[in-house]
Amino acid sequence: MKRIKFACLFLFLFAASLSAQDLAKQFQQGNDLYKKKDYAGAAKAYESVVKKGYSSEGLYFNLANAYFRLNDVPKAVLYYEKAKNLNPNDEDIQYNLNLAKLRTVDKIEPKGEISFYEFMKNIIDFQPSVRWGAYAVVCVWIALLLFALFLFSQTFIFKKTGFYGGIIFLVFFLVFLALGWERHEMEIEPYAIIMTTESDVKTSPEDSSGNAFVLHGGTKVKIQENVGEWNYIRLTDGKAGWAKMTDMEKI
Amino acid sequence: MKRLLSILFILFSAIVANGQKLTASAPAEVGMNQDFQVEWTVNADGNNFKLPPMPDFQLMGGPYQSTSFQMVNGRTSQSISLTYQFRPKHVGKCTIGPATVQVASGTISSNSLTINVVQGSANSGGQASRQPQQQQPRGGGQPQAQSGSDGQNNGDVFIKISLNKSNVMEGEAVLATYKLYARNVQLNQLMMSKAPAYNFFWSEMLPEEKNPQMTQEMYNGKKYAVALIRKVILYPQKSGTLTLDPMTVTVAGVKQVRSNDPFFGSFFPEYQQFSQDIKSTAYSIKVQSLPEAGKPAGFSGIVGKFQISAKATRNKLKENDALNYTVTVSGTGNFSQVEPFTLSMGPEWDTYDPKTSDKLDKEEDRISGYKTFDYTMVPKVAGDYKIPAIHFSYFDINSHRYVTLNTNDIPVTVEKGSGNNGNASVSTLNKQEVSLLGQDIRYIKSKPGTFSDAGSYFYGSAGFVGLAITPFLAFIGLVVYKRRRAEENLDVTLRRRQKATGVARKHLKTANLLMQKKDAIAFYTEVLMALYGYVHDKTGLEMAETSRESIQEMLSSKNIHETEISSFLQIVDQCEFAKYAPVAVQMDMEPVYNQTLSLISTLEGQLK
Repeated sequence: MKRIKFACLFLFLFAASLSAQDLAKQFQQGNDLYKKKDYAGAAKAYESVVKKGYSSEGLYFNLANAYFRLNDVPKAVLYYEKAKNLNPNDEDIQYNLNLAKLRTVDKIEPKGEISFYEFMKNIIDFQPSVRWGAYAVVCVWIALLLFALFLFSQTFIFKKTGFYGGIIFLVFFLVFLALGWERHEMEIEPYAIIMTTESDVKTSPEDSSGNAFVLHGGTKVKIQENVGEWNYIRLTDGKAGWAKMTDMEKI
Repeated sequence: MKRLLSILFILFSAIVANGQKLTASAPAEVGMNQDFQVEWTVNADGNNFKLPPMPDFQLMGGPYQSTSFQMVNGRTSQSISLTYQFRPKHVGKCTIGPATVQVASGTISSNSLTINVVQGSANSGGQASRQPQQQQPRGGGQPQAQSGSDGQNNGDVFIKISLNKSNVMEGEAVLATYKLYARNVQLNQLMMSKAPAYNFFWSEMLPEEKNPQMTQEMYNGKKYAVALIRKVILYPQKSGTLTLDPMTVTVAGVKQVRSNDPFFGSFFPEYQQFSQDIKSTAYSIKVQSLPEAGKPAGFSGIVGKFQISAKATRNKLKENDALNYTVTVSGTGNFSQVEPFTLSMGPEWDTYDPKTSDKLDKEEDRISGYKTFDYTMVPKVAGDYKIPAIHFSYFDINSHRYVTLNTNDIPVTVEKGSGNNGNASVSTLNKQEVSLLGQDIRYIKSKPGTFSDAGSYFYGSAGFVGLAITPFLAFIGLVVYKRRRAEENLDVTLRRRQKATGVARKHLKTANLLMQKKDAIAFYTEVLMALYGYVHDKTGLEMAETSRESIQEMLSSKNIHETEISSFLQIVDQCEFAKYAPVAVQMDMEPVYNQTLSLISTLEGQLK
């Protein structure tokens, strides 16, 4: 029995390492094709990794670049946004995303936000939730060690260091936990990019209802509700309406 | 003689009474808006003339007095006439009661008159019946300066409305003609002071002639000078009885004044300036409603006869190019109601409001020509589209049925524009963004970064929760561990203390047995164990610390008397010595045993 378990674990590890190697190989293949200006081929190579269910900021970024070169602005925006979700702090991603957004039809002015909120958002966006989570975990373990020191040390100075240090790291842990929570909320917020050249946004989830407005490819929308094949979407400037699910792709 | 005189007097008075008469005269029939005159004549000198109460008429002017003398067969007779001008207040038979006047012989009354007031335009017939009386030359009398209102006034100038059709349908054109009729006056000026408002009508004024010519026309057997005031084409907007509001025209001119001077009047006719407001009567039209049967859905009240055509300037164009689409409606009817058509081209097109132009001829009784709607449309997205057909419904006035005309769908192909879509919105970019537009994207990354499952998040995952919660559990575990260990330590000392006497007694019991067996070494070992064990258990000290000094120190710290300490040490020394001494120098074991027993029982009391 033990032997079977061991064999299973070994197989799993082997498969995992093989697949990681495989992914890196395909990624490299995409990069090579990109260098040769075969953007369609590069996009295909990157896509094959994406289709396996893996994601990484570099993968999304390069794929978005390939789509940008192929003049597929909506897809470029989609993958830049995905990359940005994985690493909100990357300047290259933000730069290319801005360039791609310039080539979209809709120019949506975001509603003015309160400066404090903006400030908080900048802090929250500093790291993806995975990093905030990792920071929080590290802090809580350090706090544990310090509390253990406090408990078992016979020396006064160690006891004191252990107690106050433990409390400081516990506070850090809570802060990172909160930032991670906010960031995670943002990450799982169902944003989508309009993928069709044009998408009619209706006043109610019916084909027969009137058009509220029209969106064009590459526009970022927030999905708030879903009824059948219709999504209730909201723009950053506050406009809202019902658009077909098939017209958009979730970030 | 006296009797004769009285007969004569009666006779005379009868003659006098017969002679003094007050007579009233007026036309038998007058129109509703017509002023008329009533004349009372008394053939004697009289005063204190009283008008009867007249609830049905409004006094408009008067009295105008005239006196006439007549000489018949050498006798003169005098008559005084008083003329008043009235206007009827309502239609129907109205009575003027008797008027009274004081004459020498007393108060006399006039006859009463019944006047028939009729609706509608002035009937000059009634007035005409008075004309002979007025034209009757009157003997003597002064020329009348105040003749402005007498004789030929309203009845001689009036407005007549005529319609070219008596039976009109909703939306059907009807021509209304306003004419001014005048007789015995010369009109110099004609001005509309109150134009009628045509409620519930679309009205199209026909252009006025620049120099309207007076024409001659016979009306009621009389010759009138006629001026055309207005011609208007009216389209009734609803069925039922509709009323044309009256029109008021101010006329000015000259009229002949008939002289009352029997000697000079006829030779030198006098003329007088006058200015007058002439009001037409209200006119009612009966309008038939359009049939409900077969009324098309989009019918908007257009009546006449029409054709429709539509064409686009081109069928193929590029994004953001303009397309012109022209719809022309031509024919005859109420064009003013032909409104632009709404085109639904969908959100891919910018459709601008159409430019409307028309060329319409207003003929006698109809408006014909065409009306054009010019639409400009700009496609924003490439694709195949069609301009939807237009449906235009009207009621054919000739065949009396509804007709719906349709144009054809016009297919339009829109090709991709030369520039990309972004170009259209470049103007909305700010300066910084425009400079960015020229930049190229940053190059791809050579390293993919860590691959993770797409859509899976570390934050909030089971692993994350585990890693974050474990330290807390571990901390709790540590605290629990520490406390339990402390508790355990506490327990061991306590138990040992409680059992100390028992353990010592157990050792002493073994020692007693060994004493009887004369096994000295085992005996002393046992006694030592009893003593050390007892002290250790009682004080909680470890067995390792069994040096003589440490025990002494410890015992004194526990407030044991010096005698007991020294006795303890003495026994220990004895035992240690005896344990290693040769068999020959065996001591008696009995006193050691008894000493130990008594020492332990003493310590039992002191080591609490």
